[in-house]
Amino acid sequence: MEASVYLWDRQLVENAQGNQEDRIVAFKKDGVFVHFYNPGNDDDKIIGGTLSIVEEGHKRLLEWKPNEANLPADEIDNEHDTQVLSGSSSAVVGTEVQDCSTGQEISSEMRCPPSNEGKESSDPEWTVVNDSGHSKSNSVDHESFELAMDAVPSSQSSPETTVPNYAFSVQLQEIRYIKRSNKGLGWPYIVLEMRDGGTLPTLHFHHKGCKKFLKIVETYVPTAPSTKYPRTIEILQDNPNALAQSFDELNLFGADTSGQHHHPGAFAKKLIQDPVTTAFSGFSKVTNFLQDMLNPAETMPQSRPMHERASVMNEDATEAVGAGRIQIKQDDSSGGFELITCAQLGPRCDPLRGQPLDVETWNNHKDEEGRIIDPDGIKEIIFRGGIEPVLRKEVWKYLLGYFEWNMTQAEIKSYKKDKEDDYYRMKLQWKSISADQENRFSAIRDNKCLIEKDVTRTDRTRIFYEGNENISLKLLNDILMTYVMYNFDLGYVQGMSDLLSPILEVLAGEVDAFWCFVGFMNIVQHNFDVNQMGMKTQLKNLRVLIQFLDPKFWDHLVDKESSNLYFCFRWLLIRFKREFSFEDVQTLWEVSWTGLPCPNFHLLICLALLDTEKQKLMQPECGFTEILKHVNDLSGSIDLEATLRKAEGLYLQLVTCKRDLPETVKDILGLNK
Amino acid sequence: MAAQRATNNAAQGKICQFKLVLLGESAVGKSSLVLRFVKGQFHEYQESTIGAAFLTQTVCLQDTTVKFEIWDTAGQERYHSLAPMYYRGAQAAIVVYDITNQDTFARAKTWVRELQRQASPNIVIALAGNKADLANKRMVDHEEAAAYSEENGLLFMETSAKTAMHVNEIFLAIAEKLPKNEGGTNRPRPEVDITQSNPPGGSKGCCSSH
Repeated sequence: MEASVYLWDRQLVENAQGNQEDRIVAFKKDGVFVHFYNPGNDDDKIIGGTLSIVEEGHKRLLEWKPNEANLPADEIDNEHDTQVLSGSSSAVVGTEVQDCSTGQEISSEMRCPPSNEGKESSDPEWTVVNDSGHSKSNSVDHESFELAMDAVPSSQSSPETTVPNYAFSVQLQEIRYIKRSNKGLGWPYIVLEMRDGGTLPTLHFHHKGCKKFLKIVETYVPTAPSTKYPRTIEILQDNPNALAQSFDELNLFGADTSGQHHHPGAFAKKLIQDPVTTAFSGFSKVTNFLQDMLNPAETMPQSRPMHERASVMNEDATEAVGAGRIQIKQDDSSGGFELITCAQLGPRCDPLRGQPLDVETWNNHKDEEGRIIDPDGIKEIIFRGGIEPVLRKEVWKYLLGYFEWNMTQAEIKSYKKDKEDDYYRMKLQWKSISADQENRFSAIRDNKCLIEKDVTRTDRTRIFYEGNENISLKLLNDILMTYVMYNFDLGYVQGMSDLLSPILEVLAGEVDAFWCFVGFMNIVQHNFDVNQMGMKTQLKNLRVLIQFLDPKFWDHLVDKESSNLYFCFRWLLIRFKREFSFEDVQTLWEVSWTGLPCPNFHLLICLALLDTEKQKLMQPECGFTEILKHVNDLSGSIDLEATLRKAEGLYLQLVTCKRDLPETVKDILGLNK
Repeated sequence: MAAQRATNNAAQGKICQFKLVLLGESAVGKSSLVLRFVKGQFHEYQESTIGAAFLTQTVCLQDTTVKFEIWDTAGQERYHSLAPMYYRGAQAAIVVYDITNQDTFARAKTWVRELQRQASPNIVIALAGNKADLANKRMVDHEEAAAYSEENGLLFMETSAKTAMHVNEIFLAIAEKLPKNEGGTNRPRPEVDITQSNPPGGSKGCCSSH
């Protein structure tokens, strides 16, 4: 669905108004203006017109017509130069014009609801965007980038766009939100958002009358203050199809559209026709099934925030458990729909952290030939307390998969020899490329250049890397170059030097550091995919977890155009390397390398960090920019131990109600195995 | 909105807020220019930018306080696809290259083309030839870059984040060129009489130029 600006072609409006006798004008207001911002030049246009509410049969129409004198000549000559966008009940005609008259302040509070974020993307580009600075436009690229800003503006808006005819006539019931401008910004204006997410031209009340208009609207249609937007009233639906539509919007039935009898709308109709029988036969089939309503591929494109969707279902349950966790599933075997249940999260505990793995314990876990006995026990200790610094050099080799836990010392000795040979073989490959060769070898040249640029600016304040003639810089460079030969398809990508730097400092030796780096890269290499798939997947998974665990916070992020979670990009890309002190990063990494307590534990760490900062991030004035800045500025001030405790607490909280978790959440946390 | 402001044009001093984005090949000195402009600092080994960074700085023109919201981006090509998130809605951009590296100048040109094609139509673009203190290693002619800028309607200066040469100047030149009567199209706000309120976060060297 496109969030387009609706424009009603005058001819069609007139057709719709054909039978003038049935029309009663209940409200009429002159001096209501549409501001047309023409991005191609500085020539803003303001079109004066009349706003009216008209009773026509059983219809209640909201109409705006420009005063003829105000129309630019070219527009009058060319009034059909518009294209049909959609065919809803009214004659809806649109052009690719952006309505920029509302200004950013308003638009920043008002996300275009039907953004397709979360839709599975086949486009490798995250976004191809252009913007004239405003978000209420139709979008061609929503699906290209699930992480894109919530309202990605259309590309290629042509500067030479002609001024359109903004006249419109719509049924009041087709409007969902009426958003009022903030006080003190000059003329009051309203933004009208349609049920399908499109918007009508913004109406500016140059001669007052905005409040009166809203009062009149309230007498014609049921309204309520919006829970989603400030200074906004929501027009409630009162038609008999509303229930069916609400069920449709709930999108509780995932991708299964095959079974017609499962259609929620059908159930709703049945419920209306024969409520008692339908309800009781439904209740008799209630079982504890859960539907994966959190599958982002299906639910995210829906415009409604979770709390709204859920409240349509069951007001009480919503309040009791938090909207994001209402679950519904149809009963496949009986052909009925029916059951409601919810996954109630229990209290969150604060698990204890432990002591780091020490030399004695480590040695006690070795048999006489040097095999590590009970690696699971070792990992458990590391997960709970990290590793004493002196031991890291040895233990990291196991954690990162360079050594196998069951290798004897003798095996390790010969294995190391092989790995050393392998390393120098690959190192020689790039070392032996002559300058002349390199001139015709852009792939190597480019990687070399990128690595040089980053090596000179990686952790240079560390003693280990300081000074210009530092051998560690050369090692950093050589290991990264050799990694390029090891994984040429991936090549060097910015961020890798951050991942190698602590490893090299701990391992100290070139070959060991290389193979441990390979082990770490095996875990995170998809972060560096050309098409950013790895990052997209992680951000998507994080989104699922936030939606489930903290729907309120999620709604806030959506409202603040931050649902792409882009502010977590640095956290994820280099596994919090820039967020903590060098010492803490080492602890954090070794904890996460244990793979305990579940896959994607780092996402729970993100959740823990966000949870800690939630108060600040949810301040009303905290928008996309402020959120990113706040998150960036956390660097160096985060309490690692508290964060790890909270992250594990979240895990325990989830695992306690494992049976009731949506499939997607279970998949992310590996609870399906 | 423009009309709205026109009714209110009597204000003596006003605050305009502009979004500015820095683009350019990696390691040309984008973050260093921002750091010099915002904090007056220079770090020889400024770490690479992962994702994006955000800073603000305010400059004073005759009767206008211009607040820059500065987005500093990661330069490597691999992260190119994220850039539109940052230049969307920007009223100004500084495209940076390194005068000691011809490739970065070529890359700067492609950024300019992309901005001209995809960014806001009225975006003010400045080209900064950074690392001008390394003139002995120069690979990009001043004249060539100046001519290119002339052809494309760009502001152009050679800068040095290290010596602070032309750093404030390039931001000021942008502030001058931005349309103040439409300033803050990004964030319309009531115009403020600056005699009654302190300009936010003004720094030395910026507010003294006029």
